[in-house]
Amino acid sequence: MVAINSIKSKLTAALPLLDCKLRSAIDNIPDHELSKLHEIRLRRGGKLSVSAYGSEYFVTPAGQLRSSPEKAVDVTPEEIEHTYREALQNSVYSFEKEICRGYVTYEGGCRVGFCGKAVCTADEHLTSVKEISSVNIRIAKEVIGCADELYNKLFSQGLTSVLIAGPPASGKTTVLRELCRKLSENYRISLIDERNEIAAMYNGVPQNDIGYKTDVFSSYPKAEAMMTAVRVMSPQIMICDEIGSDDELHSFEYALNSGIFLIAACHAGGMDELTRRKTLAALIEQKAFKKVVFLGNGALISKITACYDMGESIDDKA
Amino acid sequence: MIKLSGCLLIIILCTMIGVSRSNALKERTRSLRILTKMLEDTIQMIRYRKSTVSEITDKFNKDEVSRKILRGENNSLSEEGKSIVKNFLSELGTSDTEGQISMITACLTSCNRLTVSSEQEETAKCRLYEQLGFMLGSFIAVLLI
Repeated sequence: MVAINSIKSKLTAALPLLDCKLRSAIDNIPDHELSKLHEIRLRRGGKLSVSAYGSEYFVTPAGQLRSSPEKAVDVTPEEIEHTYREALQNSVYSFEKEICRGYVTYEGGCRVGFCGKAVCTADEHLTSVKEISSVNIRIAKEVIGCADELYNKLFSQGLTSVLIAGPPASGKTTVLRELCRKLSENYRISLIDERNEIAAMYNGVPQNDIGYKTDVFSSYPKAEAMMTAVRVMSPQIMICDEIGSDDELHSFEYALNSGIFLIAACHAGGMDELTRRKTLAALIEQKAFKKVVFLGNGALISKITACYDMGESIDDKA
Repeated sequence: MIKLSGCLLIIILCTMIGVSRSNALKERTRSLRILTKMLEDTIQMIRYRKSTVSEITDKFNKDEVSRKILRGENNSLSEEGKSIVKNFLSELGTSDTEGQISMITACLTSCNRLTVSSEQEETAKCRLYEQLGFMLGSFIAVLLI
């Protein structure tokens, strides 16, 4: 069912992030393995490794994937620095928010995550990160068709407001992106992409296919983006990822009272976890979402494991 | 007749040398003013738009004079002026907004100081160079006659 769209081209777009030696090792990986790459990891003083087939492998200069670090490519501090500066487009000041958040979206939609030594103010407020020790380049994936089941189940009769929940790595963002692409064939959508993961805007251009009728609010604070979207873009549907913080409740109410359908995603393994979170509990209580859908992980990634109709389960595969 | 033409040529040549020295002084002031404007624009771009280094350089590359200043190809700038550009480029993008604005403000202060001194030099020496050129040409012509 699932077709992986242009993973290699996304990977090619990410290669300038790597210094020559590392780039050459990645380039040498055979094509059939290259298309399975999920992440490229660099650790200061460590070895070059990649995530593929659900495990982490070390990469030799000849592009072979090994479980053992012997003969793998060494990663120098200069190479880490190169990747970090390239990800920040040599403009630290332009990415202060992203540095504190721990990741930057690069060309092609790849997400460059990093960690190091935190620089904090006296009141423990993170202001920057220095001495970058690890970099994780997550290759962007658009999985065309991954939302077909959900789309057919929920939107075949028309629009409805949906909350998509699931544990980490259950494919919520990928499903949201695909829903956005499919729904924008017929509806006008405002995409609230606070973390820039869905559209992956780079220099004002979405790096992922999000459809022709989608307006993207990239890196806006969610609450402000929702209010602005209602006022200026008059969407029929509003899509946003990772909802649940306290300041969002008012904006959700405002959007819902403006006649907009909401499709949102959040972390939660089950209905109990959802209702324990204040904002989500309030939204469910107000019947802001007509459906609540749970996605699975592992073998059930992007698959519906349970679907609740205003709190009542209509289908439970789990 | 030939002697007269030769003398005239010498006078014109010397005057032109004087005018060219005077123009070089004017050009230096003009370049410094452009550099000042570039630094001020950069502060605005960083403070209000968080423009990246490539966005900033792309903007300046559209203008011939600004591009030459950035690439160090502007010969009218003094060594001190070129060193300001070099410092600016080497530090651009390496720190947070506050750090960048402090760095550019320091460059701007040096640039303003150079501009003032260049303007004073221009006022004092421009006419002098032009007149000296003419007088030197006339003097040589008289000697030859």
